[in-house]
Amino acid sequence: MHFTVGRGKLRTLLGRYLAIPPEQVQFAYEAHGKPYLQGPQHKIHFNVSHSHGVALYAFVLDRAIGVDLERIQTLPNMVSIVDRFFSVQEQKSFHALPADQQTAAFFAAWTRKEAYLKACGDGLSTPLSQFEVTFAPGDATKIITIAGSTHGINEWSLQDIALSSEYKAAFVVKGKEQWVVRHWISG
Amino acid sequence: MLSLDKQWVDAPLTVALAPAEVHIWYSSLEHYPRGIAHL
Repeated sequence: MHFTVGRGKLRTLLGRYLAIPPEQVQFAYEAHGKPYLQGPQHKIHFNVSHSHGVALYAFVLDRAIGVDLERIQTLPNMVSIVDRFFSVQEQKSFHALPADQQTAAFFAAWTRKEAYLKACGDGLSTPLSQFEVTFAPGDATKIITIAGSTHGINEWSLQDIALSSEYKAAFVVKGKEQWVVRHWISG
Repeated sequence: MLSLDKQWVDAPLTVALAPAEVHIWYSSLEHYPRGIAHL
């Protein structure tokens, strides 16, 4: 039901940009299931994430974009997830953190990685360990490597989304422009 | 409703995307009944 409600809201928001009724918004789907707009509406790119009763919707013109949102919570298998899905260097960085910083750092890393994958449209077909992001407190938010190289990292912008102390969120958009980010509350 | 960071503002009636702009929208799904929301 969250999916259905979220998709209804997405139609409403897209309708506001396109000045058309929500039911006239036409979706198509990429190979990995990422939705996009068809026909003359196609210039608006978007992505959606929801977690524990909260949804974020990201919009941009003519660029790939991905957004991810997670509520910060204790995960009993957090360390095993890090050791299975993060790169070797990310694992070292994670384990070097004080224990009381690891949970927030984990969700910072996870949302930044998921946002990148969603921007690429690859779903989870690209292993999370094949690219690296910063996540330690105080480190600048950025993609460090893609496929073991710094080549290509300047094709993407990664930014955190400050929502509330209970959540971590981030978006990735194609291009290195000086992005102006507007944060809207949907009524 | 979360206690949102201060940069979040109510959306105007009409919105338009400009080049080099990213719009992020917050929406709460919590007003939907829990029994339905978790179906």
